[in-house]
Amino acid sequence: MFSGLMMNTWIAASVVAVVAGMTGFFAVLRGSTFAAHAIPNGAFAGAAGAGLLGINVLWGLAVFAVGGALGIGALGRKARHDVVTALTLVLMLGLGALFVSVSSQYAEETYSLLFGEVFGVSKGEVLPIAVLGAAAAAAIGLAFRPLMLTSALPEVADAGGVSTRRTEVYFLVVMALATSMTVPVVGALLMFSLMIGPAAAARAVTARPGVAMALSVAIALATVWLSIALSYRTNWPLGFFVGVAGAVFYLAAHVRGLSPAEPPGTVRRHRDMKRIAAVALLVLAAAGCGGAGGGAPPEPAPTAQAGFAGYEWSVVAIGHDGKRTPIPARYSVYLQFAPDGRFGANDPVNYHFGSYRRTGDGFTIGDIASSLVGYAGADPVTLLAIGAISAFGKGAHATATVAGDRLTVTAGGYTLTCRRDGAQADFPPPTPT
Amino acid sequence: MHYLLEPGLLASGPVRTALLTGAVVAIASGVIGVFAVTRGQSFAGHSLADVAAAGGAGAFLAGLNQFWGFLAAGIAAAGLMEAAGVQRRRGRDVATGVVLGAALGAAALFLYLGTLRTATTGAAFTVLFGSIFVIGPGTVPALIASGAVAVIAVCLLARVLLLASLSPDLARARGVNVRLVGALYLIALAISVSLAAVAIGAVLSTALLIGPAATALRVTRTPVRAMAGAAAIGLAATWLGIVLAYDSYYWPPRGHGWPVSFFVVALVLAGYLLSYARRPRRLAPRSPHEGAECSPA
Repeated sequence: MFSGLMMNTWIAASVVAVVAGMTGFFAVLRGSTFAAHAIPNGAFAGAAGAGLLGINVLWGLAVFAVGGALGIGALGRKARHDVVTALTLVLMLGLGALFVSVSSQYAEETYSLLFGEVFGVSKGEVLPIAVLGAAAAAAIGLAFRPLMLTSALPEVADAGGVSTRRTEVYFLVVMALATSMTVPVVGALLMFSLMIGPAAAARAVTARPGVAMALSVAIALATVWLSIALSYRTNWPLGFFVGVAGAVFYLAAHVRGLSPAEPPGTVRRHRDMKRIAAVALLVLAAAGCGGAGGGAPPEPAPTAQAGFAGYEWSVVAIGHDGKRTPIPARYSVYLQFAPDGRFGANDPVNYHFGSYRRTGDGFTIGDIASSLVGYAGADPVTLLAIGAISAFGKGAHATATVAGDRLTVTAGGYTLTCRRDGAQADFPPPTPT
Repeated sequence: MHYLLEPGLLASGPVRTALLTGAVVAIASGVIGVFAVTRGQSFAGHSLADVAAAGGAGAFLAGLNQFWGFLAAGIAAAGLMEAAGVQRRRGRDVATGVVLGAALGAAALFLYLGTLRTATTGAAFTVLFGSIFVIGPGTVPALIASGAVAVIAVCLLARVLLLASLSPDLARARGVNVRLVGALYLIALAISVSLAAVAIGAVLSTALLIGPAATALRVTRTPVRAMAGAAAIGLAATWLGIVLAYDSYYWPPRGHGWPVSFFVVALVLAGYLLSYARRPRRLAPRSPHEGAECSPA
């Protein structure tokens, strides 16, 4: 659970949690809940648009998130804030629907953009996420005082020369930056849960800003770690656990019955400490549960390193020449790794069979033969799949990484993303198609 | 005219169903949306839609008609939000947000489980973004009936509702049960959101709910005219959207229509921006609608 590709996931998700905890604190304090919902959702359209143009998803996300934030900020001055937020949101979502539909992208892509695909984080993605995360955290830290002042006492802030409006736009843009790095990891819909749930729980526990923000970050981290561990164990979507954990923490904080409206005083300080201790215990217990749940080796032991052997894997997407193409199920492209060392692979036209040997980072193909049926068509997906499967030639070496029910295989310039399709105990007789 | 109205458009069964449902949805959303804007419940309306998405995904998992899933989840969420005290402005957005987050998580799970079971991957797209051309004729009577119930309920309640929205204290003094009125309104809102979710998808239903109403309220200030105007704007956007989506089959990329939802959202938004071109008549320094927004908690 802590090796190879999964390590990227842990790092990326932790960065996301810290930033979401910090931005979320101010989103709750300032009552920008709706904007916190609208900006990540709108950013989804940017990702879809970037997919259509074939550019890096992060650019699309950043452009749409920042554009949405500026739109809400600019129009919000003239009209009702919630109406403008709603309309900005639906405009971006409508564009997203158009992009997804026109690019005839695989529906699975939509799903993972909306609900997150945390197990697919690659090493190359960790660095931009960390940089953006540090930038967003620094931006919040630098403007902590003006943000606090404009949130709590807007009139005093205006009198003191701190522009409420400019601070608002600044905050929305920081939230947009934070969003553009988190959407590919936790998904557009769940970024919102991660921002609001922990922050709302923290604020219910203590009224002191510094403590509340630290607690918000701690709860966000616990939520994310617990969710990854559970998602890894159950294969259920990460978003489900993030959403439910956020609600549980919020309810737990509220069960203790509190009103953060009172100013903090010496008497309250004592009660605060008790509450913080209680929530901290809950967080620790949850993190412990997650750790224990994930740490104990499950029975079929799908270990992260060599876990591809003994399973059949459906190829759901093929990356080649910097472009990722989804492979619909009807093409029936799959890889088989029998425990005894026999290998099978199917492209839409031919079946290939032979042997494989496990190596440190993947596997090497031994002998290989194919059903040798010719293909005269011009379907780009079929041609791509034929090319990708033929990369598994005699003696070819492939790297393989397993994360949850996902397998990523790279061989001869092709990157195959596969989904676990069941155990491959007995090999079927090679039937030419 | 031939360029806009494709020959054979009105003869097509799915298109006729779509035009009929679109009309019902647009009218219900317009009438009910006026109050959503006046009461400052845009976020509540949007949240109901997203929670309804969880219901739609659950119905997909259970193999039921999505409309019933939308409706059940929407009404349940309205009850929950009412219990959590949506009247209190302070903290209500946060409570709404937490419920919304949990519901979205459930939607993710249902869609995932549904995809595992049926190996159909388009469900996420249909539930969230809708597809007015695939509504079965069997669902249409149910859609019309629930739309009519919601509109009639809101029209009957209109006077009381308006009073309760603008001045809860005055309404209470007149013996109006403000809480009950609010709850009934939320249920009507849930029904209209479910209708819109079927037509243009759960996450985009906010466009039909808020857009036409906000536009109408910029142009006119009397509630009745605003309701009629919102219904008309919504109807125009929906019908034009359907016609354009039908035509878009011949636009690039060829042989692949653009989604209806996109056209509806774009038209609604264009209408709202157009309303800026015309200066709203401001008789008083503060309009009553903004007064409602700023009323003390």
